Amino acid sequence: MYGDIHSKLAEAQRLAAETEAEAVSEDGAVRVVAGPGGDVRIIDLRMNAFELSGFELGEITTAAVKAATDEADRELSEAIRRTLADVFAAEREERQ
Amino acid sequence: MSDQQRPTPDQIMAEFERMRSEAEATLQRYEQVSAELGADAVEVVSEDGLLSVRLDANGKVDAIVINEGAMRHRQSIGPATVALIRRARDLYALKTAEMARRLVGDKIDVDAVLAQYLPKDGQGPGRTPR
Repeated sequence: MYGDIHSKLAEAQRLAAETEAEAVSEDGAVRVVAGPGGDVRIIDLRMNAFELSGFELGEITTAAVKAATDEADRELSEAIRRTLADVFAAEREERQ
Repeated sequence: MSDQQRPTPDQIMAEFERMRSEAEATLQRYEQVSAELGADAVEVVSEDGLLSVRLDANGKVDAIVINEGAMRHRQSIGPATVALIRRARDLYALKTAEMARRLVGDKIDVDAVLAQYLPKDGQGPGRTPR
């Protein structure tokens, strides 16, 4: 059973490294790709981003970064919850 | 357990009081160190001063400020902002680690833990966690 838990923990680590979420601003000007824990990987600006002021672009980019990082955190939590649920379900079956 | 071994209500209250005092002292120490290091307000500015990133007390991006002058460098704003966020997060990690070192450094080897996760010469994590 402990071997199984270790393999699941290794899987959780792999999920943390691989989880990625994308957020795109309403007007499509800013696209952000991020991993869990605030790991911002890509900020992609389209041509219409440069029709905005610097202030506006900063605000929109901030919102997209928050959306992408929050979504990545949520997806990772969900994936880990599912992984651990499998472990506990298997343990319950073993006991019965 | 016999009645002689069982703690009296006064002893239980004294133990609670001791735990409460310890918790208050730890909290006070945390607030003091946090204020001293400015860990609740991490902000980094690009070398040219055109971009800045501020993190909140949890180390999450709170604000990205883009100066009008930066709008001339269209191709580089995205990658430069990503790099600046990374720098801000590294700084936050260092401040948080320094706080941990001061608060629990006698119990945990904070530097060893940190070495696993902080980039080494800008080339990603120092070593892969096992």
